[in-house]
Amino acid sequence: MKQILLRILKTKEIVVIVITIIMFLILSIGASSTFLTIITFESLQASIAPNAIVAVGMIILLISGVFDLSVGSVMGLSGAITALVLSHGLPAIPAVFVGLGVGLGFGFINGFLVAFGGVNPLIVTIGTLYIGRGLVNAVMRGELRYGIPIKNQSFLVLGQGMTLGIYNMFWIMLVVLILAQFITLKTSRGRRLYFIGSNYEAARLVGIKVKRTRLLTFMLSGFLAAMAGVLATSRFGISSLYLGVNLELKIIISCLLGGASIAGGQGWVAGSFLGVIFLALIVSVFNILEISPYWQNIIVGIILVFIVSLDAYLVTKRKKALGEI
Amino acid sequence: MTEAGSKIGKGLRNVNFGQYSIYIVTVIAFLFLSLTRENFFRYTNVYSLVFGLSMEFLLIIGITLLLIMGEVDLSIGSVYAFAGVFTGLLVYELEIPLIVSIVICLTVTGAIGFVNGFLVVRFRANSLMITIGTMIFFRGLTDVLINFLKGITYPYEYRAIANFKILNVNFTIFLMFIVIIALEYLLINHSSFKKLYYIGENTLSAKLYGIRVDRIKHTIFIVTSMTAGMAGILGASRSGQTVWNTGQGLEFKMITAAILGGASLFGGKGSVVKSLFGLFLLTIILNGLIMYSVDPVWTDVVVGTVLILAIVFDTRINREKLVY
Repeated sequence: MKQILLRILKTKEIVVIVITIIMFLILSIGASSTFLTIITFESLQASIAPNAIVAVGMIILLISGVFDLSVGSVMGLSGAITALVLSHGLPAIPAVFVGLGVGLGFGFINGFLVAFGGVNPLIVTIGTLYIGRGLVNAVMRGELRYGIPIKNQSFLVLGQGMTLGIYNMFWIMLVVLILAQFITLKTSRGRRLYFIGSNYEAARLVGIKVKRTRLLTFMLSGFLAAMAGVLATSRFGISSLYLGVNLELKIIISCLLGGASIAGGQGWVAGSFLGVIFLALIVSVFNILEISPYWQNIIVGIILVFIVSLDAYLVTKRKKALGEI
Repeated sequence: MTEAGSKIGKGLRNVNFGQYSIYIVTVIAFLFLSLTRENFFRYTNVYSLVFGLSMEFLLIIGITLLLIMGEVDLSIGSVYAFAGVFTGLLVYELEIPLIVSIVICLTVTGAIGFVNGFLVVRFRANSLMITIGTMIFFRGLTDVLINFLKGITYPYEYRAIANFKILNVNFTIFLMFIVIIALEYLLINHSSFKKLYYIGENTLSAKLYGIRVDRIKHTIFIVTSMTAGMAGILGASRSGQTVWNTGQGLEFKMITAAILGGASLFGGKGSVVKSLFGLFLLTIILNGLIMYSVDPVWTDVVVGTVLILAIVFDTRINREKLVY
């Protein structure tokens, strides 16, 4: 325990942790009547859980040196398709599998093209972002564009049901987080992700199956994005045309805030969770201050530019110290 | 075979068809649509396609120049939207004369390019990520401005820019041909434009040979934003009113077009004429979808698929350069 605490204190994420705590305190004290109520906590849980699940997939990709911009579209598409098959009378469990299968499929396409085609991950996933968003629009055409309502109770339990006073989706998120944190920290397969991220070529030369790992991590990212989509759809009880729009950037920002780097080889799963909480709190602050969503985009843009510049600056500094430049 | 025939055969074998594939594909697509859809090869349709192209060609110039150097700017779509609305704001709300408004607007967009370039050059940040940040920032700012202006129609003089005609043809079409041909000539022949290719081929050796890489990159980022601003002013002038989601996804369309035209994300390749043909091909494909009465919701799917196919081919050709 003490070791973990020391380790946390040494990381650069400590700034984010401190800001998060300060923001939380200010919100609790300054706006106690609006913020510190059960409803806010419940809505925070519901807004954090899907994003944190997507962030797990993203941080694993970032650790191994790539990223995935299609997660928002995959989330929206899997939600829409799950709602569609449910409305055609498919039972809950097969419907969930269909939704998750969509994510796996997209992840496979991304991963295959990046790993075995050697194609730039950014452009591939931008392409699948467009395809996914286009398919969402194609699935929810005409009357369906206002949302496909879901009446299947056993499906709605996933997102709306509670166990021990906490949303089921939050429990699912916790399981995913803990599993991912354990795997990346303690197992050799997880540690290999860091090797791949730090030096792809060296990792390949020492015999790590880099291409297969790439493929699997992209599939995991797609799978988790789809899971988030299914959970969010279950939570709202209706599919939405706008589920997951611009989500990919928020997730990448969360991961970068949590200590990951675009250059790869850094970051930890708990850090990405911290980043997600940080962004969720910022959005709460916006909402309490009644700042319009357009301004939220502006601020997200500023944060992204700032974080990416800082990240690049730190990477350059490290490389200079190592004499690589 | 006769002697002349075998000579032609040899000559044909020496021609690198990969180099001309974009022209061939464009011509085939054009002929295909002309033959199968009678509404396609009408003067009005082709004219409106070329007119649309003459609004967007300014964007493809910036993207191509950046891609030649191995950089990219994703913020052009947002800058495009921002410039149109911002000029509208200056003219309509603050009642500043049109010329002055345009100058102010281009200065501001130039400043955007300055910031992009500064961050990329100075911090060696990934230009894709940086410009995603400025993209989302200016999308937000544009939404704020539109929300403030509401759905207005721009003043007449602003709307008149895009409709200015010479010999009954919109001046932007002349502008397109002149600028593209001049730039292509310079890129092939002029030493200071050739430097872009050297930088894209190998930044380090370009630096060692005394090319001021950072300064050139910075300049091109500024040029890209300013041309995007000009295109945005023309586009807004054409539509005549504030429109939500103007220029959304334009940056990906441009990158797809440039890559179709032989530019590469790895740098060192590209030509503005071919990029323009790439854009024309994409325009034809989208127009063809409408001609075949395909639901517009599929547009994104098609653009995404074409983008992925183009990039896969690009990677196969430039394979040895980089592994992800």
